[in-house]
Amino acid sequence: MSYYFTILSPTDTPIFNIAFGTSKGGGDGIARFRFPDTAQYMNQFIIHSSLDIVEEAQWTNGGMYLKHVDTYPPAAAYISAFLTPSGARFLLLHQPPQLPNSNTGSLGSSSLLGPGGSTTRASSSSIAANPTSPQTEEAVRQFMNEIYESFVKTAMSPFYKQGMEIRSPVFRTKVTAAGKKWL
Amino acid sequence: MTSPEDATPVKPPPSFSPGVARVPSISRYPDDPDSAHSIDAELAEYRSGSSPTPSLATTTELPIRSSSPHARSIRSSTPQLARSSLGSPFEGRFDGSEDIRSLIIRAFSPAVAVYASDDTDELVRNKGFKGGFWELIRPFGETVPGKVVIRDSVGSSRAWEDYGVRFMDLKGFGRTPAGRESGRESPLAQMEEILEQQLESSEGPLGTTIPSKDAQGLPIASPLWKILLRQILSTTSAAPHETFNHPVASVIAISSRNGSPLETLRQLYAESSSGEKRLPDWVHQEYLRYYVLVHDEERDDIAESTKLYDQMKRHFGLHCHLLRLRSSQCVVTDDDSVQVPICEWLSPQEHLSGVGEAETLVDLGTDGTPYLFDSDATAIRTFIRELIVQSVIPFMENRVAVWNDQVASRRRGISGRFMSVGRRFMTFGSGSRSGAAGASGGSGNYDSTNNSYSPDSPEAVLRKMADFAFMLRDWKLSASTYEMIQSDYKNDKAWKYHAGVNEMCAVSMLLNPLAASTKIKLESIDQMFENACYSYLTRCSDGPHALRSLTLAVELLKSRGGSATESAARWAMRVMDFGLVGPVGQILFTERVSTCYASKTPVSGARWGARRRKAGMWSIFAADQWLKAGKATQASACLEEAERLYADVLEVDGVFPMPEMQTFVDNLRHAVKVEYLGTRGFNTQDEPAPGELEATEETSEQLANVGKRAHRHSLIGLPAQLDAGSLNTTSGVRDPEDPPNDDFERA
Amino acid sequence: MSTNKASRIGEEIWKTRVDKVNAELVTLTYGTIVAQLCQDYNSDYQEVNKQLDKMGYNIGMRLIEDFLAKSGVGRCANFRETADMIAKVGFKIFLNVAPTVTNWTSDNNQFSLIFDDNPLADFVELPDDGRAQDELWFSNILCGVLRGSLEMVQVQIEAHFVSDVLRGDDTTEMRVSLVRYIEDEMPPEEE
Repeated sequence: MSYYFTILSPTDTPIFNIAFGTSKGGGDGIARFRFPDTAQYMNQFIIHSSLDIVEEAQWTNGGMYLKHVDTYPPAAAYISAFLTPSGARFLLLHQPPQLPNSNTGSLGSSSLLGPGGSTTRASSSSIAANPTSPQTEEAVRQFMNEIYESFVKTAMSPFYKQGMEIRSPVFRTKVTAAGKKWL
Repeated sequence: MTSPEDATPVKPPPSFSPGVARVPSISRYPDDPDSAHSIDAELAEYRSGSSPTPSLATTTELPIRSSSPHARSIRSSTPQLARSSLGSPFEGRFDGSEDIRSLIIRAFSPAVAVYASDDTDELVRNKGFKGGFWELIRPFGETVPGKVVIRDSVGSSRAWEDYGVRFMDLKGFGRTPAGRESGRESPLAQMEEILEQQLESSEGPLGTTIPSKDAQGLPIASPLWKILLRQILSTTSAAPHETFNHPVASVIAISSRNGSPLETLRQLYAESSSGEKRLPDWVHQEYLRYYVLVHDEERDDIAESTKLYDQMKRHFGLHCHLLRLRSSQCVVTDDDSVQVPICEWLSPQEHLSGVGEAETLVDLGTDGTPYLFDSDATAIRTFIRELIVQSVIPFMENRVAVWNDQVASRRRGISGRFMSVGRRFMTFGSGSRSGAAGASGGSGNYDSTNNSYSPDSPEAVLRKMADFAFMLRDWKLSASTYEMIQSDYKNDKAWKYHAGVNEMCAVSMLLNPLAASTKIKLESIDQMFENACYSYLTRCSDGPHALRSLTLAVELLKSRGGSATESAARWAMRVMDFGLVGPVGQILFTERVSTCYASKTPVSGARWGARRRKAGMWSIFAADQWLKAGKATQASACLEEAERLYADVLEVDGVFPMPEMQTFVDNLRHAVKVEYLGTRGFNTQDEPAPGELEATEETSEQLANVGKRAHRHSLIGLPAQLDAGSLNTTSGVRDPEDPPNDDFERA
Repeated sequence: MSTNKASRIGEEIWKTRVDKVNAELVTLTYGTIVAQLCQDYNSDYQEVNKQLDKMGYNIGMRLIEDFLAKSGVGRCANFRETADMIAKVGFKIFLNVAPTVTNWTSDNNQFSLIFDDNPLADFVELPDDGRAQDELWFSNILCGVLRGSLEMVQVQIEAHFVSDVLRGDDTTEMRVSLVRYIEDEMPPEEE
């Protein structure tokens, strides 16, 4: 599973970005997105587009942790969201690893008959394989809560201005650690 | 049904007697101003003026053939009001979806086979229609003039403006099943080829296909998408598992040139029902026969023909028509020439082979479109209207009523309920055909070697009944019938049938305007499409049908609006995921995803609930793909569309909060601009055509605009800004405020 | 007075005689002041340090009265006792921390206060402009407080931070040096 975690300010400006891979089940913690060439902007596009859903869920779901809110099927990218009361959005994009036997099933794949692709959303209860299982939801919740705690502290720093990019190495370390711990 | 031997006419039950609504509809013929006033009036004039036609007005024993428009309008005036009060349930839909719905509905029109004698074909060929009688009447069948009133199973009527039938060549029917297996994938490849052709032909220097917008500024379906959609809907040919392309009726035609007309009719009938032209075994052989005498106005004596026609009526009953045509060819310069309408529904294959372009006329120096005498066109329209309104629809209504009574209600009744629970353990005889109690878990009616049911097994009859109901636009009945037989097919492992009923059940539910779109319903509809798609694709490897059902899902869910639009977008992504369409098709589906999202409107009074970002994103992707395909014009249109979609959600126009997104979009804009100007510069080098200049100016202005945006973000040359995820902080946050005069330290 | 006794006194006073205030409020208030100073002096951190020290000095001169009133402690016998009093009573009752007193010079005139915990610096991360890490002593106000309050009891000291976890150091350490005892002098004018 590869992860792309972003914190957005209330005005949709990203104030923190990090990409990392799973550390569970022998993972080395390095993100391997399915389309490495385009992952940089694609992840941002996908996250940005999920704001449509997040905005809606924000008003219909009272909690801070919104769970899995959106999916971008062509890249099998799943978005989980967490809202802080001050309007910052934590968005976690998770992408299960590509199974070797399935075709790319992406934009631009043009085989005229290819019943594949969708098999990547195979059923498995492990976090690594199934982004919508209750286990994953719980793990992501723990992750989000831990980051929220760090985020509050970071936001309390007198030198941090609201809506500004978070450049604190301490925070980055904490996010990485939380990722290692839960995801 | 009505064979020469068995001349008893099919009399519709009283409740089905056609309440014919003839509302002269001028607007239906915008391309045909000559016939702008009422067809009926003209018809009456034509008939009474040119020759005595006693058979029509005076045959009082044939009430349904009464052609007096006056009498009709009196008879139908009251119900007409009631009917029109039903109104169009789709009124006020946005986004041209009404258009698309109509297209989908018309894609499932009843098929009417045409089988003409050689002398008839010969006569018509002289008129310039190489394909004979079938080719002549085919385009006219696609729209029946005026309103067509159909009664549903509970007896309420509804008038339709856009009814039509599909004429098919009986001679060609046998061919399709044979070619089906070998060329399974080819229709999809053909579709792609057509799209490419269309793209090429629109590729001229001014061939911009900027999508038109409706009043609210929402884009309506692009022309290319409509072409694709029509292709997808007309790709599938007749198959055992659905009866849409099985003939509902057959027109048997002879001409007045025929020496032994009755003999020929009999022979044609025999050939079509038992001879070499017999339809494949899986087609229900009971369909309406309709006999047409084509009278040559120029060479033959109308008195003779009328006599013959009376004879035909005595033999074959009501389902006859005397069609009076001139036998000479009409050219555009003739005084009363009218253009033959263009065939809307051509299969991809026909498209590629250029059917409908009438090459035969090329040597005559016309523009390739065939022409007819006005009188001929009117006669054909009248013929078709009579055929549909007085014969085909009553026949179908009747069949639905009979099957509903004999087969379906039995299933729905108590025994039916038992049957669905414990059909394998109980036997139901009661003299019916309901195939009972196969020990194998299925009914035993399914022939797994041919993968088909015999056409008179209850499973096949119910499917046919549901299809009839569907074609009669009684979607409530069709949905419930499809639903009823779904489990039978599943038990029999008749997967293609299973896929088919799931598909059509979902489509019926979505077309039924009265069905509430609750969330649960939507989920079950999604499930049905899922089943259909899985059975078609994974179990049967049937790409064209899978593509059709997914596309129907996309369009109909989209037209539902609300949260269904998201389902629609997801199904469109599935199409791309499965790789069912070629490269151009992929891009069109990408655009369609964007349109689906764009059609989701915000919750009233709130800023949220729309899917603008998603729509914008997909539009950007489409632009990217168009550019990669070398189509800068389309790419530029998509970019503009994306800009429009993003306008609502971005704080500053064209400025994205995310740096890599911004980079990507700016690079894309730049590349599109370069490509676009490159193509243009090349084309307009010599001498810009008048009018082209204007367009160029407009474009460069627009591009300058793009450039300005790019500059605002210091983008064109931007590598410095791009590197390594440097985040884009809102400028202004750091603006130093005035240093306050603070003497705190002196406290 | 032993270190332990000082600790006990500190604990006792903290528990019974101190009005508590929300720590985050204090932290944020102080942090805001520092951040504001940094802005006002355009990130001239030397100047910020100076200003903080000055502010602390002014606080210390007032605070000592409150300290003596609350604690009721008498005169310290020597500088070591003073150090314990500062660490275990002073810091305890005002900040609820008790820094470790260590690193005495042989002449008993210099010692270090090691802060395991610094409520003023909770949540704080120094600006990453490349200079703050080297130049700014975020908690410099404390040096001023010590200087100001001890001066009021005739002890002239010099205090400065030598390391700070905020700068990435392992510890936060303040070095305090006795300059002299002020005998029978008039209190100096306020700086």
